[in-house]
Amino acid sequence: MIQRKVCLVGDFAVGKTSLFSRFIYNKFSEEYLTTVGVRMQRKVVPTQRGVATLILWDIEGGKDGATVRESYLDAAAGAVVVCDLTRLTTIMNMKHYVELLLRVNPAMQIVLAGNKLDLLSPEHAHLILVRRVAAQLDQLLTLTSASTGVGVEDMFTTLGERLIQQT
Amino acid sequence: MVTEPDRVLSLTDEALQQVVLRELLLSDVDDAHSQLLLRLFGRPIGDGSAPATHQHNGTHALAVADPEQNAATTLPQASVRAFSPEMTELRRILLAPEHARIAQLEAEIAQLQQQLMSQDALIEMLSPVIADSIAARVRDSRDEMVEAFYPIIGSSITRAVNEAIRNLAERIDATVRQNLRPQTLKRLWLRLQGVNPQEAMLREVLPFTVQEIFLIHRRSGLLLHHTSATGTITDADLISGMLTAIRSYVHDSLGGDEEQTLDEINYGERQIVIQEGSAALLAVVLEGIEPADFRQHMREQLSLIHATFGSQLRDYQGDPLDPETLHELLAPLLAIQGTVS
Ligand SMILES: Nc1nc2c(ncn2[C@@H]2O[C@H](COP(=O)(O)OP(=O)(O)O)[C@@H](O)[C@H]2O)c(=O)[nH]1
Ligand SMILES: [Mg+2]
Repeated sequence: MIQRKVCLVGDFAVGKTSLFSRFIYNKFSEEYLTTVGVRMQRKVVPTQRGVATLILWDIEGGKDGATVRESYLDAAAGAVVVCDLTRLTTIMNMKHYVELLLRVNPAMQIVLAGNKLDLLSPEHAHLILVRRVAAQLDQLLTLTSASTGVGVEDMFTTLGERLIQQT
Repeated sequence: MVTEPDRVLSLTDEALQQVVLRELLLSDVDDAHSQLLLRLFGRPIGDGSAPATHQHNGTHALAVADPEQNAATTLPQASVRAFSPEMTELRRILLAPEHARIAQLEAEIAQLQQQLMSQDALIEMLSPVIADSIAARVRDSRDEMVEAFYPIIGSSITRAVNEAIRNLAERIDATVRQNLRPQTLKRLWLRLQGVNPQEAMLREVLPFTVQEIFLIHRRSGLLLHHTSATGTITDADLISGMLTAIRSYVHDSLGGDEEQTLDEINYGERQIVIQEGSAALLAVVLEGIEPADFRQHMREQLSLIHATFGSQLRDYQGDPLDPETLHELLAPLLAIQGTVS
């Protein structure tokens, strides 16, 4: 089985944890997970080389929400930087996460996820803004809704394909 | 829904700027953000001429939207760092209720802190009440209390017994470190050292089983191989990641040098023993009291694995290693059960 480590980062409450349906909460207590500040998720995606398993490290920010324990990023091949499209600060903060990820691994495959798409009208100004931020950061942008599921599969498939091509 | 930047909607820059400026005004967006925002509009940053130019206009935010004016200079970083008097006033008005609320909360916290400061006073005040109510409760509902306490006390008794046996085992193992074999010589040696023969025999029959073996890529936490005696674990790859994260967490939190790592986790009657190699680590879930030389066995298999896979392991990116070979190298550990000589 092909595996890749993928980190999920982004401000507090942007929807990182909601992007999955599979949890191992029952094996590790909620208190434990909160203390350690990371939970594992698994996402199986189709690729040109057969199915691959992405092991997702859903990393919580520190107390202020914007710090990431760097040792959790170690040896990650890819990352999803998530923002909440309804909150400007979370969109702007993506820059901080992208810089951090590229510092840890310059070859990191990154996808930006503008989440909570279901809460915006199609002409909302934040949609223009988030595209500009993505262009400025020179990273791929996907728009998702963890609530309706829109874009979520696409995002992981796109990332999976890039991670497999890379090696 | 992968989209190309910049192609979709037709809101004008001015309208967008208005939205953004309004949010800047209301939220605590810092300098780095405003810099990035400004760069997004492709405008120069930190134009010194900025704030003074629009003092005739009380509503700073609206000035930005006016296409006749040079929008770039009305959105300088200075407008975020040091608000113009109008903006400061506007913020003060908008945020007044929050400020009041925060002040009130701060006062309440200070008061509580003062009350909690003197622990002695608190104990003095509360302990008679608590003692009385516990006594009454025990008297009135003995059965209920036993039922309530059993799960707590029961498991701590189990743990204490386990601990005592483990200590006994360690004490005897330490005496035998000299690696005395065969059995008779070993027993004789123990006797000379003052260990009573019943205890020595007990050590040899202490129950022990290996339940799970995880071979984990050290840096990424990816699962290289999993062998199980129970066959009940379905999330081995996630557990492998979690164990790695917990180790990182402990290492980061306790500081210390690189050598110090978490090599043992106890939970209930089970134990996870971890041995680390340069590229991979071995985590074994076991029940009972581990044999004296078990960790040595683990290290030996781990070096064999490193020797066998070499660069495949060092440069591991997540592509599978030969599972049969791995199984052969790990099976001997799974076979160590019960008593050992
Ligand atoms: N409407 C909507 N709510 C969402 C979406 N994603 C997450 N949420 C909600 O946002 C909150 C925070 O989500 P969570 O996954 O815990 O955020 P995290 O801190 O990034 O892990 C929760 O109340 C979710 O129900 C989404 O796509 N749409
Ligand atoms: Mg979360």
